[in-house]
Amino acid sequence: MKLTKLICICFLFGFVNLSAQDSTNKKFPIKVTGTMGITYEGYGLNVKPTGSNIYTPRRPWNQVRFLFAPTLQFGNKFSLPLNFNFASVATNFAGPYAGLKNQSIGQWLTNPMNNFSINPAYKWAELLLGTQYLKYSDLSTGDIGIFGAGFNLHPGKFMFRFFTGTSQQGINYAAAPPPGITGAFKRTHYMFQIGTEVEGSHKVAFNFSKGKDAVTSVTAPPLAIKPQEGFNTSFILDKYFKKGWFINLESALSFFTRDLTQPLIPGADNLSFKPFIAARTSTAKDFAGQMSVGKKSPNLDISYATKYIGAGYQTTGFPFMQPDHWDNTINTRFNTWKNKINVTASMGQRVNNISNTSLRASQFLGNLNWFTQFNDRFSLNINYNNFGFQTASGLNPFGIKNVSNDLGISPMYTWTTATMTHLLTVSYNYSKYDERDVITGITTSNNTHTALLTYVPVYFNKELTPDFSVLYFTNTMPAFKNTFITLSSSLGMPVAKKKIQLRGQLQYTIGKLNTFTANNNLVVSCTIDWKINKKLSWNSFFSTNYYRYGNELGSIPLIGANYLESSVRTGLQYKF
Amino acid sequence: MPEKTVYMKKNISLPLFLVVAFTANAQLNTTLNIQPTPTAVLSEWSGKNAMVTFIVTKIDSIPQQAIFKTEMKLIDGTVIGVTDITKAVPIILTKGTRVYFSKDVMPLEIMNFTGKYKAILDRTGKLPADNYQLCVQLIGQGPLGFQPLVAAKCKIFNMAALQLPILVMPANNAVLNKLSAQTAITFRWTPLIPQTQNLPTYRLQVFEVLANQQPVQALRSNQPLLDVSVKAITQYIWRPGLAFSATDSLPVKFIWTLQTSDDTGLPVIQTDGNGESRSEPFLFMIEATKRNEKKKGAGLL
Repeated sequence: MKLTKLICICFLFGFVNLSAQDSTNKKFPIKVTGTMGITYEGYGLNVKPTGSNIYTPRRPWNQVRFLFAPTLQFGNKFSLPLNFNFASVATNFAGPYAGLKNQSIGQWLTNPMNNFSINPAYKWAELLLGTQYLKYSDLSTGDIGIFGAGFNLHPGKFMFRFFTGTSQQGINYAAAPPPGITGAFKRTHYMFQIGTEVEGSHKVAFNFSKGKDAVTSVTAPPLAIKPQEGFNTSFILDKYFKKGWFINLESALSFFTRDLTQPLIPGADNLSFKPFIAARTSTAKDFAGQMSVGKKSPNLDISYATKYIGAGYQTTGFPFMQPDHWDNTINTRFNTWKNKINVTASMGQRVNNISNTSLRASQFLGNLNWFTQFNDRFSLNINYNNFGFQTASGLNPFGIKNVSNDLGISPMYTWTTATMTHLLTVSYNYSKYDERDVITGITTSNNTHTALLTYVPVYFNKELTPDFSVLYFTNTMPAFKNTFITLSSSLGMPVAKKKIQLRGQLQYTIGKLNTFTANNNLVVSCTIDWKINKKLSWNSFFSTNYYRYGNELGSIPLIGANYLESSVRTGLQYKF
Repeated sequence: MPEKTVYMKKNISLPLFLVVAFTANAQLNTTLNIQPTPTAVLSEWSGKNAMVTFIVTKIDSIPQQAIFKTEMKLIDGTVIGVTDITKAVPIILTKGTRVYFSKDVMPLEIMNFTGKYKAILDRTGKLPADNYQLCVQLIGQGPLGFQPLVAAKCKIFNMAALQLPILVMPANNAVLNKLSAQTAITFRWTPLIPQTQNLPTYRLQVFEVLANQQPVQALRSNQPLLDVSVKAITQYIWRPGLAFSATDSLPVKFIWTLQTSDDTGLPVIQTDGNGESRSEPFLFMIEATKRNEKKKGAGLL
C-alpha cells in the first residue's frame, strides 16, 4: 500500500509539473504527445440474505490504474515513446498469475496487468525495452506480452527483428486460501524475424520463435500444468498486385515438448532441431499453414481462405491456439444499387481430425448480413447465421449433432419535422438451437425470440439527446421457459457551457422463469465527462444494479433474495 | 537344410521353455489394469499412476531379475509398438507384492512403434483413435536368451483424443447491440468430444478489455465480469446487469473463453497449449446502435 501511495503522489506531482511545463512548451526543441492519467475504480456489493452466496463480486473492491504514455520527439529522426500502464491490485483470474495476490517485484513487472515499455527509435532502428506485445505472424508468435529487450531494424526494404524476455515468472502453487494459486513455471521467449517488406507491395520473411519453461523456477509446481518447450519456424509471403488482388500465405513447423520432465530420446533426430530443442518422449513435430487469396476494391471484396493447424502443432507465442482443424471459407462483401445495398457474406467448413487421433467432427459456417437503404427514411438490415456441428458416434449410440440458426430482421424508419428528427427501429431475432442426445438420439430444440423497439428523437434546437426502448426476450426448451421484458431510457445533455457532458440511463427488467414468481432488475447509470481545459479531462461513470429474485432459488429465506451492486470509475486524463 | 536345423532347435528348446515357464508360473502372479479410455497423449501416461497398473506377486523368496516386455496391439493382434528389451532396465523381484505403473512397464523412450503409428505419434504425440490392447509380460534372461517368466497379461482399451469445445456464439469479432446486450447475451459452444460417461464442466468467463489493453492481456489479468460453471450444457444466457458505456465510436470490447474440466475438477487436457484446457478465446464488441450490428464470420480469416 505504501508503494501505491507513493506512486499516487508521484502521478499527482506529474500532473502539476506537466501542466506547468505546458505553458512554456514552445521553448523546448522537444515535442511531447500522448496521454497520462489516473483512474480509480470502486465496487460495492450487498447481498441479502447475508452469506447466502447467491451472488459473488465481479470486480475488485478498489483499484487504481495509472497511465503514463508520452512520446518525446527530438527533431524528425529520434523519438522516445514511453508506456507505463499499471494497476495497484492484482486481479488475475486466468493464466499463470491466477490467484496471485502478493507479488515479488519480478512478478509485478511481468504481470500482464502491467506494462512498462520504452521504445527509442532513430530513423529505421528501434530499440524495444520492457513489456512488448509483438506479433510476427499468425502461426509463430503474437498475443503474449513479454518483458525483455530487443530491436526492430528496417533499413530500406530489409527487416531484422529480435526480442527476448519473460512472459511469466515462476509462481508456486498454493491450495489455500481459496481459490488458491494456479502456479506457473518461469517462461523465457526468444524470437527472430528476417525478411524484406515494402508496404503495399510485398512481405517475405522467416520467423523463428522459442519458448522454454524453467523446471526449477518453482518449489511447489503447479498441479496440472507441465513445464513446456517449443520451437517454431515459419515462412510468410504477402503479395499485393494491381487492381486489388492479393495473396497471403504462411507455412510453419513446430517442435513442441509437452512435458520437460520427460526423458530425452537419444538419436531421435527427426524430432529435434538442435541446438534449439532436443527431443523428449513428449515431443511432437507438426505443421500448420494458411493462405488467403482474393481481391479488394471499393465495391467488391471476394476471397478464399484456408487454414490448417496440425494436431500436434503448438506454439508458446499463441498459447490459446487450438490444434487439429482445417478451415475453408469463401468471403465476400459488395455494394450495389448505387451503394444502397451492402452485403457481407461468408460460407465455409471446419473439419478436425486430419491426423485421425480423435472423432471426426465437422462444422458448417455460414453468415449473411444484408443492408438496404431504400430511401432517406427507410432502411432494412437482415442477417442470418447458420452453424452446424456433428461428429461420428464413437462409443455412444449416436454422434453429436448441434445446429444453430439465427435470423435477424431490423427495419429502421426516420422522419423529420421542423424541429426534430425521429428515428424508430424495430429489431427482431429468432434463434433456434437443436441438440441431439448421444445416448437416446432425441433432438431437443432451444428457441429464442428477441424483439426490440427503439425510439430516438433528435432535437434541432435543444441539447437533449434522449432515447427509449422496450425489449421482449423469451427462451424455451422442453420443460423450461425464460422470459424478460426490459424498459430502458437514457438522457444526455451538456451543462456548464458544454464543458460537462451528462448522460444517465435507467433500465428496468421483469423476468419470469417457468412458473416461479417474477424477478426484478433495475440498473441505473450516470456518466459525467468534464473537459476541464483543452488538455485535461475528468471522466466519471457510476452504476448501480439491483436484482431481486422471485422464488426460483428455493424456500425461505431465499424467496425474495436480492443483491445491490454499485461501481464507480473516475479518472483524470491529460493529453500532452 | 537350414529349415531342418531350425526345426531341430525348436524341438530341443521347447521342453526347456516349458520347464522354465512352468517354474515361473508357479512362483509369480501378475495382474494388469488399464483405464478403459485413457488419455490419447501417450507421454501423459507416465505421470498418471492410475492409468496403467501391473501388480506382481512373487511367492518364493529367491530374488529374480526381470524386465518388462510390453506390446501395444490392435484388436486383431497386430503389434504396433513393442519395448526394445535390449534397452530395458532390469528390476529385481523379491517375495511379496509390488505395483508397477506406466512409467515402469511402458517407458516411451525405449518403445518402438511401427509404420504409420510411429509417424502419427511423432507428429501429434497421440495414437490414432481406435481400440487397442496393451500386453505386459515379465521376461528374464536365461542361457538361451530372453525367456518369459510368466504369461503375458493383456487388456483392451479405447483411445480417442479429446478435443476442446470451439466457441460459437457470439462469433469472433461480433458486434452486439447495446440495448439487447444489456438484457441478455447468449453464449454457445460445441461440446467436448468425444462425450463420455463423466460429464464435463464448462467454466464460462467473460472479461472486459479495457482501454490500453490487448485482448489476451485482459483475459490474463482482469477479474471476469462473468465466471460461471455449467455441467455438460452448451448454451448459457447471461443477464449482465451492466450499463455499458458504449458509443459507436468507442465500443465496449469483451473477450470470452471456456475452461473444460473433468469430474475431479482438473482441466481435461493438461499438456496442450495453455495447460488449463481453455478454448481459443473470441472477442465481441458492444455498440450503441443496432444498425451497426455486423458479424465478421467465425474468426476463420
